[in-house]
Amino acid sequence: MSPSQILSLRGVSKFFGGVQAVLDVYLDVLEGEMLGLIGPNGAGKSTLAKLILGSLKPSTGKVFFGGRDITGLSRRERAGLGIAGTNQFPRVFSSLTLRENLEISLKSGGGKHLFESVAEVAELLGLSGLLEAQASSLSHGQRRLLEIGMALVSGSRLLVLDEPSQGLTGGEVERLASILTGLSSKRLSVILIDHRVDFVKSLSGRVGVMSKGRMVALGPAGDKGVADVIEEVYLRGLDAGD
Amino acid sequence: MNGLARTIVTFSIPAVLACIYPILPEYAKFFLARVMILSVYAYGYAICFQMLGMLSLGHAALFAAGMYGAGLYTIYASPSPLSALLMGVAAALAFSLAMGLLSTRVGGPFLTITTLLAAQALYLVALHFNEITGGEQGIVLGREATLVWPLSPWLGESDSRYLFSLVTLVIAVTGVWALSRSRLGKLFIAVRDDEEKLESLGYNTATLKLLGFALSGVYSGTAGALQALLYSYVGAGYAGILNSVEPVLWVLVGGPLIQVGPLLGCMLVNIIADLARGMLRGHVLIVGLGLVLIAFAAGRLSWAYRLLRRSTGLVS
Repeated sequence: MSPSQILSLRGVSKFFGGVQAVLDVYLDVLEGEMLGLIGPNGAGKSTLAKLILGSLKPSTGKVFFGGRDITGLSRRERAGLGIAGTNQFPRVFSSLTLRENLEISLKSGGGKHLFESVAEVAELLGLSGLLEAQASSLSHGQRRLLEIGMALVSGSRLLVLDEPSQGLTGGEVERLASILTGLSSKRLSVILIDHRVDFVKSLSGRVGVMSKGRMVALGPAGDKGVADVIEEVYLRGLDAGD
Repeated sequence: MNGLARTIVTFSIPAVLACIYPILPEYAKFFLARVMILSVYAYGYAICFQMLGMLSLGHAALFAAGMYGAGLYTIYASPSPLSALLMGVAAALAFSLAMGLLSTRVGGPFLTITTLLAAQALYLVALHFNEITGGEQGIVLGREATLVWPLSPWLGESDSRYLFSLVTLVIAVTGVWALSRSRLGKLFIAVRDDEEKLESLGYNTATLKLLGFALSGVYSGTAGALQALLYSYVGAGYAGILNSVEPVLWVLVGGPLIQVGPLLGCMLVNIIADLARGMLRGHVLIVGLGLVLIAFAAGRLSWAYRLLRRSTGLVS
């Protein structure tokens, strides 16, 4: 692994009974890069996110983080090393206020401190006026942004965002894009998984395309080869590996 | 409700209990002293159930561990009531750690069953070693071993009991008030809301649950020890299932504000039960009816409904 690689997947597969959810994936994520991951429903993107976060263990293959084999580590242990993530459906602590949610998350991970205060990240999220609001009273979009904020303040070095734009309004997607763009100056590595192809391509340096559990293309976001595979996978519903 | 209003509400009932003390008749002092001790137990239970979302049906064992720890110490070691109080709390802490290690590793209904079985085991042990514990009939402690004895030259028994109970209640309320404002308290609530999410932020939720269970045990054991040292009696009946079920009702009746709910619920249920004491097994009847009513009303009492669903693992 080269010094600039923060995450490395080596031949990672995940089977649920006889179903191949993820198959023989090789992937390197560089320090400070935003890597987009796209693919149709059932392509294995969320399963791959769970394998990176530690919610699932791979059936075969290895996961390395910062050069260390973390395949056997739990999600908590990985969080301690600085791997944070958000879920397809936002999960926050609904009985606590927005401020308390962020305070609990603040520097809970083992990575660098991107934000020094709750107020700073609340302002970035555009939620400063809601700091004392109970999380249960927030809209879906606000909860989504709050969960991203919780991951940001947790001292993470790698952020895995699973469908962060899902259920957001146009304005909220714009704010999310602006937040993610702002992260490039923080040297935080991000894996951005989303069904909005243009959204992912506009923000990511490289894009990976998944289909039927395989990583069928990986390259620069503007690369013609990658664009062709995206078209194949999305428009014709074909496995580019076929 | 803002922080100041919450603080005022929190300490209002203990303040009223302090103010009305000089004008209370003897029976009211006796009754309220007992309710205040049970309220300390209710606060302990609320830490486990209301804050952490763990529906234990074995807290009678923690109450009884405190009671036996204190009571048996005065009989077999030393009649010093203060040492006995500490021994009772230590016994409850040890038992809650052992019980917590067994039960907090599992969640939902499994935790409920595990705690219930652990409490029943203690109950059977207390019955089996009848010659040491006094079994169901119990043992009456020597008068000099009680906390009221050192104050006897100046205060009557009911006054001493009332004041000891009130001071303990104020300490217990202050502890829960401080806990609810602390980072640890927020973490307990986060465990209840979404344990997996908290784990994903790097927290060791198993340790948090054990810590909460132990803290809950210290409260319960303190109440048990005071029960022994103020009323000169220990008995296996306190380790029975009814003593585990009652705090569930107190917490649910008391409402969502943990700083005042357990005290309010415990007082309401016990006052109603006391009024019904003339009826056959009136106390048991009131507890049973209360639980049935809560179960039927739970769909409308959204707070109680959510708490019960989370604690029993019916929703994540």
